[in-house]
Amino acid sequence: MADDPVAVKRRIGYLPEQVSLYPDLRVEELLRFVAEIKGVARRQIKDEIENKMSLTGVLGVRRRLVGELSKGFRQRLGLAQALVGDPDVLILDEPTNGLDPHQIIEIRGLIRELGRERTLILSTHILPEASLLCGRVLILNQGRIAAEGRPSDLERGLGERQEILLRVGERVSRQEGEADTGSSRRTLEEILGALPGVEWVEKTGEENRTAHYTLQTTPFEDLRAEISRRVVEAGFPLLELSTKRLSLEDIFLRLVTTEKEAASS
Amino acid sequence: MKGFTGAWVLLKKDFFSFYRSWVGVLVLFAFLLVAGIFFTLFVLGYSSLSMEAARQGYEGVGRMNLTGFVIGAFLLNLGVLFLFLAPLMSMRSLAEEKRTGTLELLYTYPVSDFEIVMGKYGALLAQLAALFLPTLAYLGALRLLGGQIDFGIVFSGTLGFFLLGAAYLAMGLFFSAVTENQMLAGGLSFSLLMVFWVLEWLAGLAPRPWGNGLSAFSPFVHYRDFALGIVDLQAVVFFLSAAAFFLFLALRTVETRNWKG
Repeated sequence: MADDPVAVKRRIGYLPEQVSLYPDLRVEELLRFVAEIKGVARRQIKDEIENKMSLTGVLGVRRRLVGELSKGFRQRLGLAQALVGDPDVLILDEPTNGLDPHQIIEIRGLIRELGRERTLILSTHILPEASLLCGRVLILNQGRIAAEGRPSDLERGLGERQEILLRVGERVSRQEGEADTGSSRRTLEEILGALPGVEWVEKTGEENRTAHYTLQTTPFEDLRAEISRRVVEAGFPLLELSTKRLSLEDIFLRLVTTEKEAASS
Repeated sequence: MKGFTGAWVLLKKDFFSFYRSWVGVLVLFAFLLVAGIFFTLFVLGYSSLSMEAARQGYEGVGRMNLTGFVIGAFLLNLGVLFLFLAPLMSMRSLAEEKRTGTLELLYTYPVSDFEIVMGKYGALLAQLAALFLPTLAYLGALRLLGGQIDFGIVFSGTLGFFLLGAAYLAMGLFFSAVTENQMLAGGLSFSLLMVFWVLEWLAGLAPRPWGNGLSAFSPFVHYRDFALGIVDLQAVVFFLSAAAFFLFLALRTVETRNWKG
């Protein structure tokens, strides 16, 4: 991307969340401008424009000034300009934002059609929309991937990272003659951190001779049995082991509340 | 020429958009109106002057240069007029696209920053040509009045006006790239143009070595030569390098968005 941005941009069609199009051009003129600037062959421009206008349903407003279009039509025109030139990758940011329910259904249908033939990256915070339209979902929270996978897997809660809370007692010193596995010299953090599937371990508290640990596992793994075995093996009495699941809704709520906080502050 | 497709497409769009805006219509109207008034006044001035000279029996009447008097003075005054119009023409160029957010979308199209700046600048030059070319019809009017036209002065004056305009518009484009407020962009470029205008007076007031240095930076000192029929290479270089300097700054300003992450 940094080396040859123009070549990369040639393969991308982008619909921003707030689509700003030249208000002083007519719908046709705008699409012609986009087709020309994207380097569509001169002879194909007319067909290309007609094609994309009928696909997105803006044929009826082709002579209207862009600045006079309703929100719904402007969104369709935004989609049309992204589609011009048939880019390999289509990036849509909140494509149904601010549309009425009827328009939403239409745009979603269109997006599903488009996704059959090309790579389509859709950004949305409407969960049903994502599960309706997408083959693979990533949930981002504060810039980090919080969950990923097929929508059906996500809904079953498989794709999420699991947080496991541990509470252990003081280490029991070993009996004479028992095989020294070497684990007695390592801390619990080191032991658990070395387990495949564990992303991080952190000591989160200590009180009355018990210690608390939080650890996070990668998606699609249930490590609870393994973890309890390792803890006991290392000579710690396991007092409590619980999982904290981040459901889609939890993650979503977290996103929304942080957004709200950011907006109100 | 593949690398300039984007610039050319942008040039066309900007050029036609300009005449759909009130600023475009206002600039065109003001320019043609004021140019017409100047021209009429200078023709009348010349005719009364030459009549007076003939009545007094001045021998040099035949050598009086119609083109030099009318066209030269006309061009000099257009130069002053353009001081006011250049900021109006260029202030929208990038500032308006930044304000409305259309520039963001433009960045997603396969055009380089260089093409964006060149397309924008090309449109401004085309607008300059569209303002100036109709005034060449005045030459026809002079011809109808029976005057002899010195095409040397017409050529050098036209060249000078375009060079002057090219430098002014490049400066205006730079200020338009700096802010998303088009009024501020216009105000800034007008202020700087005023400073350059005043340089000539300051040069006259300042002690000798300073005065010469100052006048080297005065666009009007250079422009006057062209209007008198002199094509001075130094002046050509002055205007072209001023234009290149401000275009470079404009390009850098557009590119800074890549640094902000």
